Amino acid sequence: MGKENIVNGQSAGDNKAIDSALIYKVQQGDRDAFNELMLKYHRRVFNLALRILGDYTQADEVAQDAFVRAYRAVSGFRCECSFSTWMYRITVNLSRNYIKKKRRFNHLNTSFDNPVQSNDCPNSKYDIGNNAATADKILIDKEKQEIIEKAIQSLDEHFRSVVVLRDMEMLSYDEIAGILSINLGTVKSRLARARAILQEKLKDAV
Amino acid sequence: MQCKECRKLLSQFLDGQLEQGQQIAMKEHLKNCPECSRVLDSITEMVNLMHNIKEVSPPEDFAQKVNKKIDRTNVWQKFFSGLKIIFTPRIPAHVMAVAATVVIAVVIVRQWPIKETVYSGAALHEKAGPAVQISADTEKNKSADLVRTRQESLSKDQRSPFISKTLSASSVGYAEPKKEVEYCSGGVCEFPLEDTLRKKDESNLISLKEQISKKENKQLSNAVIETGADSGSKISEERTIIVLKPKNIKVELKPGNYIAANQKQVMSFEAVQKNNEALLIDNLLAELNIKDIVKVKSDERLKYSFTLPFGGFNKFLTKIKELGELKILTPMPVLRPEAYTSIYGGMIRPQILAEPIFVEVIIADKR
Repeated sequence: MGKENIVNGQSAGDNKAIDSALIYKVQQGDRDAFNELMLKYHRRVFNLALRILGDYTQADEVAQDAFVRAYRAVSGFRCECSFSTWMYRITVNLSRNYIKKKRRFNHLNTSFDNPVQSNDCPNSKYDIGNNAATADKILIDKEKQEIIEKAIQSLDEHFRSVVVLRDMEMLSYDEIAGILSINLGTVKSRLARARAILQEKLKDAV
Repeated sequence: MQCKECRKLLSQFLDGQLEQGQQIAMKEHLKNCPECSRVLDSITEMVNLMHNIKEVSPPEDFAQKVNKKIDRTNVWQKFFSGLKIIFTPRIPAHVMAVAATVVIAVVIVRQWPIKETVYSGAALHEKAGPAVQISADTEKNKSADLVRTRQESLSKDQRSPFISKTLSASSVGYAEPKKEVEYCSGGVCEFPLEDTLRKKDESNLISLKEQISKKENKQLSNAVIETGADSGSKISEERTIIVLKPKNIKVELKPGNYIAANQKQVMSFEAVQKNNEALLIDNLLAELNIKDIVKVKSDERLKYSFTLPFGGFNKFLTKIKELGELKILTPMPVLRPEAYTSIYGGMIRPQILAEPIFVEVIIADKR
């Protein structure tokens, strides 16, 4: 089951029931209910956008737009899929649109690194003087992860989406099929192809 | 089962997606094929690394921004429903909405007389206030001051220290300006301030919004920045930005932080120098002709503080990358030479862009 199905320790079934209740309230115009849903899922939505787009600012914008779009479209939401799946679908579509728009503008974008979680930031974490072996391992793992992130960013968008949804968001094949509106066979073949490409790119680095 | 078929099914095998018969055949093949086993191990390691890529926290004011956008679109929706009553129902609502959006967007854009972008430095054009001319002298040395305020009659308050500081940066390596561009200083902001800064360390980063609300004397002004790309060969499109008048705001900076304060982008990052003997940063800064470098040594860290001129940051990063001797430990933000505008709900969304950049590099001893 994907990460999003276990939220706040609740099972998928309970989660869906809670979300449905909140969605109903949002459909009646309850903004607080919407904010509650947003609080629950904004981190996941943001990280999904970040993994697809590879840029914090872009991910912030797309994630915001995803929730705005969800709010505007909530009256049409019929709870056939889970709210999280729906949000993921919106986020993936917006991210794709963003990538297409970015290609048109052909931005010159110099990026040395993208921010990762802030826990890694404080310099106190790197007690390099005391334990070189641990520091080396931290650096090596971090390096590998950075290399992987860059490799993922170099994938074609169709492959990138499946890899992100499966290997980072840990969604099931069925959920991925629902989000991307493709059939199960396509999920399998795209994922296999994406992993093979990544493995080829990374074989010397990782 | 042959290797070719095995390789095709490795991904599904890893995820437990194969039927029982195929699963058994795969296991049997992998038992006897070290090469396929190696590939599986490699994919498994890669997938595990991806699983462990840590989540990033979104900005703290994410929900606030979403609600603001929703409120903004609600205003437009009410406006268009009002239009629906006035106009004939034969015109579809979405057509009217698009038409109105285009009209409004054109009106907003054309509030500022837009000058042609001709130079790769920054030129500011603001809506209100006295005009100050920026010009560049193509004959002079590249480090020459690009800003010349023409009116001695401008009072001290009217002269923007931000403008003069920003545009007095040298334009080393950039295309020279070809003609004068007019800009104004002063004026009142008509756009809501957009906080495009990213908060990585909540205790240490202060957003522009907080700075403004703390100081309460927000002298915001609209400005149009035209900025070239790092190569100096590309002329970018016009942008709309918000420019803050600088106040004395003290900010504590930690490695990995990125803020814009007093119209300077300030960035700090920590690095490990692989080769302790090479004075890497010193040489690099000398090569980039950076002066006024402050070096402070404490414990096992050496901290450099310096200011990079307009466009210098990307050069700096490129050089570091090329040299490959410096391992950056703390995340560094993407610094775009150009901002962008997007039309959302009929409004132009401003971005914030400021140069030059004050940088701190902390080199940790790696022993």
